[in-house]
Amino acid sequence: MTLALALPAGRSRPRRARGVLGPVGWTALVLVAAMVLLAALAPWLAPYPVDQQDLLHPYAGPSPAHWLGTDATGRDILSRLLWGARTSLGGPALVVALSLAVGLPTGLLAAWRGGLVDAALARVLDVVFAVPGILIAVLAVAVFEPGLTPAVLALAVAYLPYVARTTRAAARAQRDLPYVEALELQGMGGLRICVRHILPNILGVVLAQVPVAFALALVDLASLSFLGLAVQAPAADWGVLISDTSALLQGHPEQAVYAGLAIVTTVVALTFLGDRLTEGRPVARARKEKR
Amino acid sequence: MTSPLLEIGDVVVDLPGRGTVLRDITLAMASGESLGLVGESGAGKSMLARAVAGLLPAGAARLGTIRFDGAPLSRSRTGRDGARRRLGMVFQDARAHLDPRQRIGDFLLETTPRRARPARLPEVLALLDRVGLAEPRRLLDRYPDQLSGGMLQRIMIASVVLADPALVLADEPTTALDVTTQAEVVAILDELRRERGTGLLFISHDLDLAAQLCDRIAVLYAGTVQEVAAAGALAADPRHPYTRALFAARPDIERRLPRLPAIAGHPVAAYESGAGCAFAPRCDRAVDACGTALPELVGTEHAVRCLVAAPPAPATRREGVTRC
Repeated sequence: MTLALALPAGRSRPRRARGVLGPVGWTALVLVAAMVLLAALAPWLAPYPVDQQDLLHPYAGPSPAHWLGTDATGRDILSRLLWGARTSLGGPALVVALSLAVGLPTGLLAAWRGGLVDAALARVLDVVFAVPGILIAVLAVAVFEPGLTPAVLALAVAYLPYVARTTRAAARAQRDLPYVEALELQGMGGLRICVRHILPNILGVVLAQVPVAFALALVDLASLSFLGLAVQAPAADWGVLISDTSALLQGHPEQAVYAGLAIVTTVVALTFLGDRLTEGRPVARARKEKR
Repeated sequence: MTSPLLEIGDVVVDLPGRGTVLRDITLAMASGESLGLVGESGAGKSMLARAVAGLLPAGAARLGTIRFDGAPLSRSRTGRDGARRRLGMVFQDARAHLDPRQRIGDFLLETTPRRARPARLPEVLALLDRVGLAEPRRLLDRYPDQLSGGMLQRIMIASVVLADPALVLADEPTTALDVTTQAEVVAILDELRRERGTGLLFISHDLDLAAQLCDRIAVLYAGTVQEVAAAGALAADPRHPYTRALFAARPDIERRLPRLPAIAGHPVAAYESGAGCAFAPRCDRAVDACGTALPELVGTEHAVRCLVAAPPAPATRREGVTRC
């Protein structure tokens, strides 16, 4: 009688080598790249100027002249989508980049130093976190003038706590891991340990926030544009296209649908891309003590 | 012993929430000497190594002095004194002490300035070959999770040797390895140490291994040194009842026993022991006085902390002075 034992699989799924995206990752990368290219080349690709009206043909359906139809004042929706991609992608990207640029060092500093520095930074972040981003943006616009720049800066401040708090929590967990102690014993400085060792180990966790933050910032910027505080009419923006309620009330949701699709595609592609880029190598985790 | 390499004087360590884990530790090591630190789990062996390395847990209080190469070592882990750079540590769990996101080559060469790295590469490769790692060049591109525990421990040892320290702290470097790897790793450690005249503080719960590797051995129990002697003298003539019990409790292939004579009771931590000798409750030779006063560590070459320590065995008499 033979006894068959199922060999336990070593890993639940094959580990992808670092840098290899896989089919999903590649699709996401191509989509994101296409979006960025379309936005960058909008002045050459758009069939009509962004604000050219054709009052005789409002709410036209798709036609060879207007692939996606026209809006209430006869403006070409495709052209407005292409032009809108510039602020819709650039704005949130700037917001996320700025909050990462400040939030990562802040979180690492708080986690590494601990004590008073950590307490002070954490409380400041809590206060910022408690104020809605839109409110900060409204204040910034009130102080300066309506426009994309103050809105982006204000939202960057508002999104700072997301990044900094995640970084801090992840870095604190690394702070007391044995490998950090071993590095300290080698006489390595805190800055070097943070940047060269802790950061790579927590980057996956922090970057997982990026697509979400990007999407939220996109929606926030759209709301601000709708209020007339960020992107100014007649410039186009995906958020502006979605929030054009007059078209919706007239029974023409097309431009909102197209802009919404563009937003969803971008965010989903970014999420998958971030996921594929950050997985691969295992990172340091706290293990249970033996005793 | 003119000026000791490492001088530990009256060190006491208190851990927050646990209490005293080390009491009155006084030990000295000459440069190039190897000292074995043995004891059961929880005796404070690792804590002593961490105290020397300045890696005590947050909130721990340390009294007493630890002088390394004549200069006192700072107590906190953030204190960066130059002396600490001449201290290398080999940990029990090499995997946990390596950054999983760093390639082996980057790890070994990280403290070398970038421009000096190509020049240093042959030395690194030769050393990896020395510690018994095949194809060292390919190894440099690997990540820790692609290698076995034994390989990582060899890499750890190589990295410590590369730093050329004056003293190596080895905290149970072989406990996580299987027996054949264990022997190899110990041999490598010993060979490199002798070659370079490095001091070695070897922490182990394996008395035989320590006796084989070290010049002197200190036996720790409940955070206190119970007996210190030259390795040969300790093996031939253990005087503290605890050391005797340890020797009796180890398995021996030539001396097959139906059951190993285990030490009755459980090991205690320093903060759990009373006023007297910490070992007294488990000791088969304890007298009433053992429970009331903590005996001093008496003797120079062969020091014992026991009121009723066995007198020096006549056959292998050494110049240890033991007061009973």
